[in-house]
Amino acid sequence: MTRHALKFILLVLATGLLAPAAANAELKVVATLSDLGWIAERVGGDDAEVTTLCPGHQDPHYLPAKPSLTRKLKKADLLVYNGLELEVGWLPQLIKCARNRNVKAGACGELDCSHAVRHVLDVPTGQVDRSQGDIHPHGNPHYLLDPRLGVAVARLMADRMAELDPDAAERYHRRADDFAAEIKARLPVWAEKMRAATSCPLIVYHQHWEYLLTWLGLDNIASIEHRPGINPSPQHVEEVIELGRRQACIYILAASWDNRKIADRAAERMDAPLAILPGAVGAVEEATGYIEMFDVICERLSEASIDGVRPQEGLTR
Amino acid sequence: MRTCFIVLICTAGLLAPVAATASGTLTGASNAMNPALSVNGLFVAETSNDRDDAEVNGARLQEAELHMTAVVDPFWTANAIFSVAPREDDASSFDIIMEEGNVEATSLPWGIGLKLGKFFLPFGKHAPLHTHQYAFVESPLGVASFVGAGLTETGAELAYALPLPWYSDLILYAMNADTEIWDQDDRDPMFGARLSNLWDVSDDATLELGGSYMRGPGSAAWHGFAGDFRVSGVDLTYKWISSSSSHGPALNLTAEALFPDPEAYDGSPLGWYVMGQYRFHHNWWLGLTHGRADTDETGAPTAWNGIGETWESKLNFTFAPSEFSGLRVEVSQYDDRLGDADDLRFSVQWNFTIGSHPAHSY
Repeated sequence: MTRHALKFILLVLATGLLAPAAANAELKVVATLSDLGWIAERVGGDDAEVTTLCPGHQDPHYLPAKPSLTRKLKKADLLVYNGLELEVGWLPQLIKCARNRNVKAGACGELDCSHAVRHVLDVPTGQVDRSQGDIHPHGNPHYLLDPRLGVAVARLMADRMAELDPDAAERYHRRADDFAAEIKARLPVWAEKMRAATSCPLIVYHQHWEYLLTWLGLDNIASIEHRPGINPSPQHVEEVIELGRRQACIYILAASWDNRKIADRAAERMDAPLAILPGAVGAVEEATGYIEMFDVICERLSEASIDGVRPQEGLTR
Repeated sequence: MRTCFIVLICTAGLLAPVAATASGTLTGASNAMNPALSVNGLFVAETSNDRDDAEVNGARLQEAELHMTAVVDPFWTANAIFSVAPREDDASSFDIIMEEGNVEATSLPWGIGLKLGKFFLPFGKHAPLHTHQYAFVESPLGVASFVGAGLTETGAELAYALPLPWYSDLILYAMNADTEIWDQDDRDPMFGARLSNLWDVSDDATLELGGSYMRGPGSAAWHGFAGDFRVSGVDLTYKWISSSSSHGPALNLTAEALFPDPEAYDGSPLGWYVMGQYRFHHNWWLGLTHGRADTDETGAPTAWNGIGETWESKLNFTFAPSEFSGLRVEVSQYDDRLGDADDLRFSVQWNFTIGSHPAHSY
């Protein structure tokens, strides 16, 4: 019995040791976020097998570092991640447990996609400490909410995929070019849709949308969450409500994973529409892809800005 | 204009040495490669209706930890953890011990993990935890009574994820037998293994089943018998964390049982606990546990310093306004050693973490 058990264990171990050699030639890519996963699939096409760690409906700041996720990382040739410490609460733990030298810090198979961002927003100046909440010391990490930066990320991915898989280099670059062309063609459509929205200021729940607002030229006048990652105090929420009430036009933006109770209550007290936007691909049902996500965002922003106009003398809402 | 230019030149001249110093090229002093550093402080204030000694009445530092972690070179990362805690016999003085000091290989092939140095043994679910990770103020009796509350040894650990359709991680270790549960005069090493398996029950829930075993030279002072001390354990953990909202509801349920087996003992000792934690609001957790330690005295009534059969029940509320601080209020009921009077305790515990502290494991 003992001998049979020993044989079984040795067989299992041997299977595991030989498994990498038997694997097919596709580049195995693991993306931390659903946006990155979607872009990696576009760039990788049939030459890459892409898996994603954080589903779109989950707040990427707080993904539980489930050991089962390390199974995805264990065989990865390339790990693409957002960077700017967005995944700092769970990715280092997963990398450590995966014990895959391809994706350890500094290896060719780890790609910090924030390197594609030339101008990081909200980089703190002066003293940085946790009295400011769960602040990102290197700047706002939500750059994928600007589609032009999505294109820059796609090109960065293509370069790295080409480096790891030179035989398919031309195809990676061609797919990144195709993606860039698709985004370029879509930009005027989104701009047209947002034409009505640009004159109405807005209030955000969390500072998630800075890149989106900068791209679209929208005016954010306050944040319900006073300090990132910390529940806002009733006093601060009250101040924001008062500010909102004084505006001739106002609406609120929140992600699907934000604290809906507080966001709903603030919207109701302000008598302002609340737009729940997809913070990532898959965050809401209609955001099935990176391009579709911006379709949904522009649609909802446009509607909310129209609904946010307060009735005034001689005008109807 | 000319004045501005002169001021600019002077300023550049004054700042230049600073920049050179900061780079460390001339001084050899640079903080660019310094380890990530964090300090955790854990304090408790308690009162007991049974004991009137200072150990459980009054406020004290439970433990402070200084944690350093850094990449050594392309092949290793290193951790050093120093623990400061009051002495048991004199609460006004403190012991400083190196709780962990180890390197972990980062470049081994085939997903093999190797850790060398001093570290917590991966035995069961609770024994490997640092004090500030406990779900309750104290370690469960069923664990602490049989394997102690700080099972750190020096040696080597090998880890390998088995190629099974689910997450399955096997850890083997061989260490010096230095802690109180081992015979410290006997230079025989201790050995152990842990196999943990985890399944995704749904997107939000996991089930983990673990089994642990270790064996080494037993300490007569600890459990009353010389000769080999073997102990095995099994643990089951269910975790559910709502993925649809940040800091939404979450539930942790853990059950763990230990089966100590000293070579020269005829009895069947058993330690176990079940515990549950529920996050019922953004920052608020409710915790409940019950556990027992039973030496099965049929073999020897003096075993384990007279633990006999004892149990505990605890209820607590934890308020954690951020990931870096927490305040806990706990009521615990202990059936005291060998059937003495019950001990009802009320505790308030608070902790903080400053600096760059690595995320805890799942």
